[in-house]
This record gives sequence, structure tokens and C-alpha cells, in this order.
Amino acid sequence: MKRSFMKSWRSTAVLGMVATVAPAFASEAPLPPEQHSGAVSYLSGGVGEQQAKMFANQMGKFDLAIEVLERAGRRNEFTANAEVKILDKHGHAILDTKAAGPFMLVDLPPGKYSVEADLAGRSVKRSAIQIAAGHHAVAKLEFPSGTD
Amino acid sequence: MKNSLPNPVAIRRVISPVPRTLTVLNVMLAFIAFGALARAAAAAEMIDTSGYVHDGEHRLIHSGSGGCVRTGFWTPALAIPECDPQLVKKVASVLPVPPKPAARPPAPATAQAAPAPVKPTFVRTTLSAEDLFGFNRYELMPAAATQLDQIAESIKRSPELDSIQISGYADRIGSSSYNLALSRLRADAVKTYLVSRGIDEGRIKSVGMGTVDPIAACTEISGPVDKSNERLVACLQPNRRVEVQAFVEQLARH
Repeated sequence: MKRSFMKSWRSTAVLGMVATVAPAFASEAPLPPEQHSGAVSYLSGGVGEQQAKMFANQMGKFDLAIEVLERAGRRNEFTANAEVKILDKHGHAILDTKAAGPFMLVDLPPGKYSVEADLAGRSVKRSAIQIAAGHHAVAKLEFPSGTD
Repeated sequence: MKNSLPNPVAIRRVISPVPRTLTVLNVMLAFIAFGALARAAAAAEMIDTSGYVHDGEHRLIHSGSGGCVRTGFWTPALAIPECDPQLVKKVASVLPVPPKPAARPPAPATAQAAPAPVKPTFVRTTLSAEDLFGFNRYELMPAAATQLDQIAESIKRSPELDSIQISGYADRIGSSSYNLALSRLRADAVKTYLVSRGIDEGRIKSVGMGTVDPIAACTEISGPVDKSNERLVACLQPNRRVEVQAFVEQLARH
């Protein structure tokens, strides 16, 4: 029963704080945390205007930028939640993850790779992607119109 | 009490947790606060609390054991969820109806009209995603605070609301997978805000609904289905939304 007193006390305190302290609004979306899988580290996301811009700005800082898109007439649309795999030259997946948005920014050891994306039962692949020190590769994976 | 006729009010009083003795201070406050002040406060919140003792700032006074303190004017018709959840069946006015609070009619002084005993399964309120986030964004704008604070307060005042579901919806411009992700991020942002305002995280669920259940079809608008089509973007505005549903426990509490 003490709770109801606490509740009314707390809501009063909250109202007081609104007036004095700026509420916790994200004025800018931070980049999502870097994730790791073996020798691969990556960022995944790009949903929403702000995060899309931040990812686009960061592309040149990573060994490999992956874009997962869908054709829509003469334009490309962003996708999300595609399953993205990076395969080494032997065809072994060194990364297999669900993309949070249209962009993945990846650092990985030099070598030759292919990237595959699966979305709504369709699969798109880019092969012979060369990763070398000081070079920034881009793999654009485009699903046909009406995939999802 | 034993010799009096067992009328319903008397029985409820006996089983209620309200102590039978009031402090002198509370009695004084009862007479000071009851009346115009209490009515004004009740009207502002659409909940008539005039059956209970208030302090000078319209907050309900709680007794030493934590229960609300009823005034001598209290009747079951004046029961409110916060104090007597077992007596209140109607909660349809619990959630505010944004975005037009100014359009509410002036306070009816006759708020004593007992609400019809209905049994709602949930209460729903719809918020415009443009008002909360802006186009193709999921970061809450400062202007969203007013609406969301109102909802947070409503939920806090209503312990009979078991669970809150926040559903994000997107329009049909863009791929389905992208819209699903965006609508989920928006629902998550609203949930995070309500939790930051003191709502128990366990009471709130957030889901992304993507493009399902559109409010506006806009099939009559020609041109490309992308954001360069300003008429289509404007027409589809009602679909970009967040719905807050409050699920109410079906069984009365004891």
C-alpha cells in the first residue's frame, strides 16, 4: 500500500524534472556498436534518415561496405533484415548474420571474398571482392523488384 | 454497524481498506479541497476524484495504511481506478485522446453521472509518427514529450491496466523489410521513453507492424511509389503512426 504514495510522489518528481532537465531525446542517432565474428568486425544498420547518412559518411573508413537494396522501378530501395554472408575463397562463411538495415561496414583480413544476401526467399551474390590494405571495397547487392 | 441494514454501500465500506478514523488534518483538508478545486482538478484529467480527500494541489491524500481517504460525499459512483479498482469497471476515458486536448468541452460540473458498467478489453490511442519523429526517422522529437507524458501519467494512474502494447506502423513507400524495421524502431523509441518516465518495463511490449492495416489506401494517387511523389507522401500520412493499446484485466480485483 505504500506503493501508491510512492507513485504519486514519483510522478510529482518526474513532472518537476521535465521543467528543469532536458528529457533524454536522441537529437542524433549514434552508430550502432561494432560487432565481432572471428577476424571480422562490422557495423550493421542504416534504417532512418539520420543513421543512413551516418553510415554513408563512414563507408570510406572500412575495408568493405555492403549495401543491400531492392530495385523499385528506376530507383533502389533500402532493405533490412536480409541474411548476409561473407564467404572466403574456399566458400566458407566467415560471417553469417542478419543485417539490421541496408548497410554493413566491415573490417576483415586481406583476401578474396564473396558476399551473399538472402531476403524473402531470394538470394543475390557478388563474387571476387578483393580486400587489400588501404583499399575500400563496395559490394552492392540488388534484389529484383517485388522481392519483399 | 452490525445493527444497520446491509445496504451495498455499507458493505463496501466494511470490506474496503479505508481506515475508519481520519486525522484532524485530513478532515480539514477534505473540507478545504473538496468543491471547486477538486472539481477543477478532476475535470482537467477527465477523472472525477471528488469522492476522495485531496491536498491543496489536487493530489489524493493517502492514509497511513496507504489507501485513499473517502470524503463523506463518497458513493460507489465516484469510485476511481487508483483508489477502488474493484469498484470501477469503465476505463474508457483513461487514456488521453491526442492530439486535440484543447477540443475537450469545458468541465462538466455534473461528473457524478455514473459511467455505464462496460467491460472493455483495451483502450487504444493513436499517435502520428510525424508528430513524434518526423518523416523517415525514429528519434523522438522534443515536441513528442507532451503527448507521451500524458500517456505515461494515464498509465501510472491506472493500475488496472495490465499491459501496454506499442505498435509501430509505416506507410507503403519503400521495401516491406525496411518499413518493418523502421516501425519497430519507432515502437521501441516510445517504449524506451515511457520506461524512462517510470512505467514498469515489464508492463510494456513494443512491436513493429510494418505496412499492415493502413488507415489511408490512397489508391487514387497516381505517380511513382516513392518519396518524390509528394501527393502520395501526404496522403499516406495517417498510416505512419504509433498505436498505444492498454489491455485491461477482465476480472474484478479483490
